[in-house]
Amino acid sequence: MTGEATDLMIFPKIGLILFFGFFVGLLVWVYRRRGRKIYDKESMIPFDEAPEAQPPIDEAPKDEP
Amino acid sequence: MSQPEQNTGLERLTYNDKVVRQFFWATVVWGFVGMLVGILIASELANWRVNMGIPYITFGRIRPLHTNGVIFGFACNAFFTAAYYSTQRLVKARLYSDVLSQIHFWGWQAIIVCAALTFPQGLTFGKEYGELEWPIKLAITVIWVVFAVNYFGTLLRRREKHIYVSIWFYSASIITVAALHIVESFFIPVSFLKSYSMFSGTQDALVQWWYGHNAVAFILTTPFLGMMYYFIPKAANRPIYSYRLSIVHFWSLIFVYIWAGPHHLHYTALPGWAQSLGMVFSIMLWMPSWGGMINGLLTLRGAWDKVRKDHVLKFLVTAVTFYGMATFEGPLMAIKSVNAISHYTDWTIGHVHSGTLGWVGFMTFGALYWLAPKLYGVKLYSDKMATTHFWLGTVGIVVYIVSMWIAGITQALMLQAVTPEGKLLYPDFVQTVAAIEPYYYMRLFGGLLYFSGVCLAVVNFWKTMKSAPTPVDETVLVPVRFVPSRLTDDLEEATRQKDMTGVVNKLHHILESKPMVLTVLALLTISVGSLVELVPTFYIRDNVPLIASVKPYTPLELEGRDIYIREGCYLCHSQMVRPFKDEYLRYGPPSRPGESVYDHPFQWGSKRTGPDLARVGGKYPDLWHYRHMRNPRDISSKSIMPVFKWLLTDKLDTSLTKAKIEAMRTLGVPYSKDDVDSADVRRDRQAAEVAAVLKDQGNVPETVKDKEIVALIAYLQRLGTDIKKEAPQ
Repeated sequence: MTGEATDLMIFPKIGLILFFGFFVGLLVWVYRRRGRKIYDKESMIPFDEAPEAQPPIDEAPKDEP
Repeated sequence: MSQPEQNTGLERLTYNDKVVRQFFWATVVWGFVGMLVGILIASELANWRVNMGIPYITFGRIRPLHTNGVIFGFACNAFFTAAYYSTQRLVKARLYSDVLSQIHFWGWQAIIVCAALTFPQGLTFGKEYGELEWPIKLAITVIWVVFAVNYFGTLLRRREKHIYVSIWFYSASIITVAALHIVESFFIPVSFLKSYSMFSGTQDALVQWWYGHNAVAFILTTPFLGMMYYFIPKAANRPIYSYRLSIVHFWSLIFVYIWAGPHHLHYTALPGWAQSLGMVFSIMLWMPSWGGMINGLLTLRGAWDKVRKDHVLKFLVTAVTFYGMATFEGPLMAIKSVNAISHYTDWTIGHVHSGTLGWVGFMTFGALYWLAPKLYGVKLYSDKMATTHFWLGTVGIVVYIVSMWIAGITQALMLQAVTPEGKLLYPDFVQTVAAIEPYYYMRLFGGLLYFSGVCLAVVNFWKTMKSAPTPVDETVLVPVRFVPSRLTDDLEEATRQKDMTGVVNKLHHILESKPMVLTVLALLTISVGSLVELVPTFYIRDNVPLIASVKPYTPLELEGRDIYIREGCYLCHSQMVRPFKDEYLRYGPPSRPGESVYDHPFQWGSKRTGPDLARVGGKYPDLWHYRHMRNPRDISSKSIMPVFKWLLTDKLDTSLTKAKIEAMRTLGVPYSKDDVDSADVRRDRQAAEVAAVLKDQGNVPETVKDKEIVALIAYLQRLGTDIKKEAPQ
């Protein structure tokens, strides 16, 4: 691989495609329909460690995005 | 350690809290020691007399002890404490192996003890935050593998199907730190306690800051984000504000962070495209960082009154606030025009400490205050002491970072100032040092405030432990273990799903409930930025064009260079002239990549407490350097440099000269076989020449010829001279 033989301008293009692909895919995946229910359940895992010892959890308004 | 309960579908499980308590105390002890050394080096910068002329406590040797002590001693032990405590509970499984847990604990502490023993002796690899010599680096690799096996083994024995986001952060940290450590550590050994970096110059610089910046990311950030997502909900007793945001936070943070390293090398001889990538990704890093900060803070929406009463939440919330401040300041400083001012100055030191003292320190102490009563089954000894610790720490951080902001910006502006005639307004570097000296005292005061809070914490934890009966590991009732499905079966099942919802749900299970899949995806994510930046720098020759007049060091110069590294000179002096008018006027033409191709490791530096040395060769007579090392105040009355008088009396160790030249030859430095064979003779001949010059210039006794100072002078007098021999273009 030498400087003369390599078109460096290919790297920004690859980078842009990777970047947008990654983030758009991530957002579509995380904010998919019906995903909220699953994620809400997962957010409760820290409170499910030892059910008999767990105090009631504070109710917080559900206004998250 | 689990026993089934009859007909309940539950079993009794005892967590391994013994190792958590051990790591808890290791965090406290190394935090105390590391910060105490921090106080010592802050004192040395404020007043050079504190160095006391003792080599073992001189700034250049113990600064790595401070950084390694707080990073590997304090922060890593805090990570292990939190990860072992929270993961057992999040997956409802005891740690995979009690034996591995103990090997992990004792092995890690032995590594830190080795660091404490080797750094004061000047045994260093010479690369910031990776200074430990090769046997200790190997030990780190072994112990880290033990940790990884123990951690991932625990995940594989889990009783909770889903993997909570804290574990994602912990897992990514484990796997990325392993990759960073291995690549940064590529070395060639010369002796049992001496090695050279396999990389040199520009390539070494890029690897160093890819490692250095991502050590900040994956040792000082992601593990503590894992802690944030566990301890804030637990302390506030409410789930995280947005779990979905935490997932976006995780993936975007690890994807973007890995690219940002080159912002440490703006305006250096690093190729411009790499600098631009570093800057752009650093600015983008702001978004995921603030997403995480907002997620942490909004968890307390409607419950801020709890912060007023609860010292744990005080620490945790303030930590997240400092995370937000530091991650705003970082991208700002990565903008090239801002970096032109901030780089090499104390502004960077202030930025680092707002992150380490505020984010890492407070997150750790918040978690420790939360853990102490649980690990010992008693109330915390004194809530009042904890609250006092919080306020001492908060005020201490503010005093620290404000003093460093002022010092950094003041010095940068003074260094850049030119008269209407185009001459330097402050031509002598030491003028700028004298101007900022009061802020070094102010920084020391801030550090002392923070440290006094830490002392209170030590007493508080000790008294809590003493007031407790013999601690008992927590036992809970948990569901019986399930056998995790195999990835191939899951994939097959996904293809059999009849509707889209079924496919998506199965995919969710595959992507977010399988620790190994998650870890591999995280590794792939961090690999993208790493490969795009590192591979072209190594394989495209145009990035580092050779300069014909730049030749390898002579044997004596190489010995002198090793003394320069041993004494940590690179921690206060750069060897990198940036393309700015003031630097041109002060130091000479900008540095070029080809100038440092034979530097294993590179010596560009990251901070200028003293002036740049890239072009110091031939600037002063040999006698000037001799007197300067004996007492810098003889040369410059306002200098804050420590004395290095032992260099004038200690005999140069010549036992490894040949081996060093041979090692360099193996690394590709163009020494011939004859150069290796004649190394001793050439070294002694040049030493005699330097000694003769010293005698001529200052009547220095000729016995100096076998002393270390001669080698150091030879090295310093070589710096930047090759480029002057280059034929005009």
